[in-house]
Amino acid sequence: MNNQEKLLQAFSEALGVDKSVITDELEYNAISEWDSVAHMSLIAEIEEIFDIMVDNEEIIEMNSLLKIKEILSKYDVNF
Amino acid sequence: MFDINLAKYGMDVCLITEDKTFSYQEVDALCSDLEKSLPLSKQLILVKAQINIETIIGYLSFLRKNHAFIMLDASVDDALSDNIIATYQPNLIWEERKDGVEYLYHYSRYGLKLHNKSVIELHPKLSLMLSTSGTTGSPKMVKLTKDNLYSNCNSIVEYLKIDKRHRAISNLPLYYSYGLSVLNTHLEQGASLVVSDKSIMSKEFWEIFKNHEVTTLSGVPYNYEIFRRIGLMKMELPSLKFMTQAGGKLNHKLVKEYALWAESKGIEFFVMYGQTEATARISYLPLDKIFIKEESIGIPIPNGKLLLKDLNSDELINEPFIEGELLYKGNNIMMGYATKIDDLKSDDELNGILHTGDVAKRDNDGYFYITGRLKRFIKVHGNRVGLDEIEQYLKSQPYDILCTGVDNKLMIVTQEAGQVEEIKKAVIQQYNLHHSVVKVKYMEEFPTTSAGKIKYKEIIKLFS
Repeated sequence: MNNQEKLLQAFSEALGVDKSVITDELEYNAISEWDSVAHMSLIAEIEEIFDIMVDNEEIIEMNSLLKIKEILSKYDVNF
Repeated sequence: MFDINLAKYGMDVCLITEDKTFSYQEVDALCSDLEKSLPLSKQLILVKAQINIETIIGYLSFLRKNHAFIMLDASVDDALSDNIIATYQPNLIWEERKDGVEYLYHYSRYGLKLHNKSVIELHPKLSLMLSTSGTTGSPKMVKLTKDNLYSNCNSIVEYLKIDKRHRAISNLPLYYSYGLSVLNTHLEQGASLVVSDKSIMSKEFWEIFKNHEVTTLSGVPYNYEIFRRIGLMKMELPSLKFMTQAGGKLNHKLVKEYALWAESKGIEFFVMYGQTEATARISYLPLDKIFIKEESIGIPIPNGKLLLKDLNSDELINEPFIEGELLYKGNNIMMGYATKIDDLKSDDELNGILHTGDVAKRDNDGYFYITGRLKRFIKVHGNRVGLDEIEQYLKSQPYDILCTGVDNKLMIVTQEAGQVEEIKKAVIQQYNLHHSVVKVKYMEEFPTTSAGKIKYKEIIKLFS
């Protein structure tokens, strides 16, 4: 799987949604499935699938798919 | 008290929203304005509650004009709110305005809608009604009086030492007893409240927190786990002076971590216990006891009393370290539950004694510890989830299952191995639970006693 596929997988697992729903424009709380519970789960999925540990302070910055991609690049995960 | 005496604090800051700061006088005037549209006779009102000024204005107005009102989560499924409306037939509804609907009165985004003109027989003392069923569908309400609210408010103000310099923030919902207790106690003391519906997971929430110099943060265990995960303990929050935790048992390692950090920052951290049936607060752990009374729920609030009753008889337990059902006595105990409109006229059924449904013990110093729960519910991310409701729902589908669990983990067993995935999906969909908290397993034979009673403890063992 490439990084895009991995990210979609993490979202799909954490939010319990179909990958087709996940677009670059997707934001936290924009859909009912992306609530705080799903967000915690999402961070855990991302950490597992990319084998990284996200900095605490970054979690509140990760409020959209685009933002997440931006932050992941700091961990050498590129899209 | 806090609802009637708003004007006493005059120009002092009362509520702060993203757009505007409201003084006590202004809040009082907004309430008076809404009240002009209210009938003089006691009404039953449904409030579709959100974290906003409109909800607060409605709450204070209906309270001080002695109406009976239900604070309901505005975001619940239509099916559930329709069920509550059908069950209780409220005279009026205070809700976010919808197009094409006529309202008797409106303020900002909310409107007062006439729903039922007929007279509903309401007990004169009936005031606030709150649901404890969360998303599991039952219209069961806790019935509280103004005396309950005032009594609990006074007790909480006393042990938390809230004064006019404090500033809280509304991260807890206003259809939840804990969230309302934060509002009530701060208004009572002429303190202030930042009204924001931003998630604690968002950057905006913490910016608002800092900009308005919030002094007081409250949360349920799940919130405290989020606070830790987002690095609260590394944030620069110079205004933060008080933290309170209730709504379930916070992992004791985390309690200690917070307590140590709080101490290092000069922040006062209070662990508390209670339930909606007691308005909100029943007991608290004094600051200086967090380390030596680990996992304790503390001592009763001022003017409250805790007792232990033998699980199999009515005998009271006076010796330390013996488990029993935790009973509470105080003026903050509900009148009883309501499940239908007829219940709204009933008198106080509890006579000042609440069976908490928790199993507890006390130590030699009179500090209490919760050791188990008698009622069939768990807490998932802060919300009560009814095990019987879920069991009955699944059985009606029909699935041959049994349902139990521990906080944050629902455990369902089925005798049909092939239905495990299907059952899991059904529960997640029906109750809006995250998949990580729902566990379904195949069990060859359901564990029962010789008398046919289900041994739920055996099921819990299967999942451990």
